[in-house]
Amino acid sequence: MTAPARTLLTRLAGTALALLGIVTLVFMVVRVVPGDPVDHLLGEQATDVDRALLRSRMHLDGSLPEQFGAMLGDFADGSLGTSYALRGTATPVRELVAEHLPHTIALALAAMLWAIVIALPLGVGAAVLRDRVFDHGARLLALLAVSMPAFVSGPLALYALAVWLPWVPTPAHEASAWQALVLPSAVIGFALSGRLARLLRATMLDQLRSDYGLAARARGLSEARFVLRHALPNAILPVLTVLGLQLAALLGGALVTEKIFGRPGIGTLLLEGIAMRDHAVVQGCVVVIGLSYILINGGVDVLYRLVDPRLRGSSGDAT
Amino acid sequence: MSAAPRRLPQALRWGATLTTLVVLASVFGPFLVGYSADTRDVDHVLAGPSFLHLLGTDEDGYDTLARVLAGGRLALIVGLGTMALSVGIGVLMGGLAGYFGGLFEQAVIRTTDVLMAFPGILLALLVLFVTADPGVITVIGALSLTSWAGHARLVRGLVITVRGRDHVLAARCMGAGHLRILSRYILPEIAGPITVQATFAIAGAVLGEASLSFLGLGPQGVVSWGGLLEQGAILFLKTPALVLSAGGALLLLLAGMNLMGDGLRDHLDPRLAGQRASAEPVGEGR
Repeated sequence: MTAPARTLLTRLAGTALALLGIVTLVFMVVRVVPGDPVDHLLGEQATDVDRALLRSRMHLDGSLPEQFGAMLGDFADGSLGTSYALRGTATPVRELVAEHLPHTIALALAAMLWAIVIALPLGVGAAVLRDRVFDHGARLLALLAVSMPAFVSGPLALYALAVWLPWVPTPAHEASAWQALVLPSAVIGFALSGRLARLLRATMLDQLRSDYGLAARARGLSEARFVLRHALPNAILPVLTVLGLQLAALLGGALVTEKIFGRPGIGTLLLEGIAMRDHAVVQGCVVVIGLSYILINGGVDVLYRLVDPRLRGSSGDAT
Repeated sequence: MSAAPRRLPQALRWGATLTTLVVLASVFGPFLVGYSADTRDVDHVLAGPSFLHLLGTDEDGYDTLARVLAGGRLALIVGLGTMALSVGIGVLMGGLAGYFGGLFEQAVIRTTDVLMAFPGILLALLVLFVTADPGVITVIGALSLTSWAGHARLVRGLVITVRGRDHVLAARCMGAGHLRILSRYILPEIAGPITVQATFAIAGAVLGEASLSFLGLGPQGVVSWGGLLEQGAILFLKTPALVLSAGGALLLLLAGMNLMGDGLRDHLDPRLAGQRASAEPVGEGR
């Protein structure tokens, strides 16, 4: 077996293990929930027959191993279980997730775009103009971005723009319209840009003072050409990795922003599931989020190897 | 450009100043405000800032300043508590894993793999979902549940680099026991990076608690910045002071802790700081 194939297999095995770990963890946590979900759904007046029926439909009548098996079956056949509480009728969680996930993905991608647009000039500019006014300003802005959670910047942006810049599209639009994405994604993008700009500044500084950089400029390469053609492509690699990890975190971590702007994403679905004590929805959301987190992290890893020839062929298991 | 060798980095001084400011205000402030966080002034509901209520009141007549200061206490308690618990577990697990290796190390690595394959706040959210009436301790536990993993990985790596050093081998030859070697010869060597990590851990826990409270899943029955921000976001047009003050306080503390972490890293890792300060002369067009 070739080295890359073995690396890939090891990773796949690790992924499967992590996924099983997540499923087990979620199963255990959700089963400890105090209060009977059947009572919660049917109320006090329900007949015993109805209770027993719903209990068996929800796979709650078996032993714990049987329940675990039933849940694995739900995940295996792709239905992700059945939600009884959220819609009033039995709905496969898969449908709910399929309805909500695209909104979260769109938000996450738009946020990444904002993050790049903000961080790129800040990071590069701060490195090139080191210790000048621009550098200080950029670093202050980055610190602000890192320290300002979405639930602070969100309401501020919402009201500031609505009052002073009424032409900026507000989330009052339909959730699927692109206008509704602008502000929420900008809020997240700003928060992400802080870490990226700081990292980019550091990696750019390394490149600017590298020996090859000195040599290139000694041969008469213009500063601008050196920065854009040589330093930036080298400096941006670690930044892209972090960006990928952030995208993964965003799919699950956009809860707060989705709540602020009332976006019907997967975070909102999860919170609704929590509020309604809907086991299946909570389980499904967490597993889907966990899975996408693992997949994106793995994907970033693979991409990184493709982009950076130095890593090709090395097993790179740096645990 | 290189400063006197032991002068504290600017970031550290600024960060410490900001943090101290928030800590002092949270610890002593509540004694100076005429109201407790639970006294309602029903005659002044949704009042603007005045001498009576310096930051105004909310829709129930609670004094905003008193609430924000009380929220600061909670943030500090949760931040420090979570840091102590998660760093404690992390140092213990990571230290033993790195030092003894073997099956235990594999178990720790696999466990942390699973925990880190998970957006941190999600697991905390799940735990709080199952606890009927989460208190401060529960929130600290929930936040520590995933965050110890990162510390354990860091400590394990550090221990592995240190455990083969000469002074550790010398101690072993002198007959020192494992516990003594770990605590007296290895831990002091790696205390620097752990301190830096711990600083960021406090900031992370403060942010985590605020996020959970904002989502309505934070500690119940206490005043939290996250809760104030949630309430304030709805009331923003009526009383912006709520979001501005709670958000401002959170921002100050987080910025302070982040700066302090950066500064500490530069200060405690002279190699890094040296790189930054002394690699100056190369070109850069000046």
